[in-house]
Amino acid sequence: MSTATSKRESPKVVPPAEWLAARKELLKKEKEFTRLRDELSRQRRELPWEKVEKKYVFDGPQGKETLADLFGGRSQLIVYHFMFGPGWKEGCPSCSFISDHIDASVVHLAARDVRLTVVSRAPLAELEAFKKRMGWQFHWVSVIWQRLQL
Amino acid sequence: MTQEELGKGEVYYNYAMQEFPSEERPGTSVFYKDGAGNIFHTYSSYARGLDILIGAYNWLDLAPKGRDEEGLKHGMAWVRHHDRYGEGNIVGIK
Repeated sequence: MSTATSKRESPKVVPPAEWLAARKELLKKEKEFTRLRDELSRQRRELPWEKVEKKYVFDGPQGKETLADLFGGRSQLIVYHFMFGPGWKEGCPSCSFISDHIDASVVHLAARDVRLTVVSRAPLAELEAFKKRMGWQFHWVSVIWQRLQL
Repeated sequence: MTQEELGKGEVYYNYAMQEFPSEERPGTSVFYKDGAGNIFHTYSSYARGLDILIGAYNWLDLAPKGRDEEGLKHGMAWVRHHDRYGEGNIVGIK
């Protein structure tokens, strides 16, 4: 799916006062969007919860882990499902792009009671080899027999 | 996903049946664990709902060319592993 990216072939070039007026006009919309985003996030937090009854087992660097273990001592857990199937020679490029943003966030999230963990279906050894190539540090576990996404 | 779903060409993804070109599909799920050890699923998001996780998109959205996806097979067709771009290479020539 493509984003609505309008690439103007010949941009309009205007004097500074006119530029500033146009910029301020857009700023109104940006502020409106920021408020709408805050409101959407508030509504997201107000969604009902569902209890997890299924027992998951993951294969992690320290051995077998349950879903409770993945919280790493925090009360909030965010799991990213990284597309890396058993036998793939490398992880999906788009998921790698997203994951390039993870390491820098982990310490900040931990300070806000959030554990961020990555899960894939490939065996742990395949994940760890690719993780080394990419230079990532984040916690990455394998769930071979079941999908975690609910 | 099951083999049966694969056969039909449609899979359940992002809360609807749709075509998806891989046996694997990306998503993020959020959980909460209370003091008694009960675990709750609070949120999941898929597809372009994951855009907000990509800081680089936010930088691109500030630039004159934006994400520059017009003519690409799909929006992320330009993306490479970070060790595969090559020096000075701009990916995505139409």
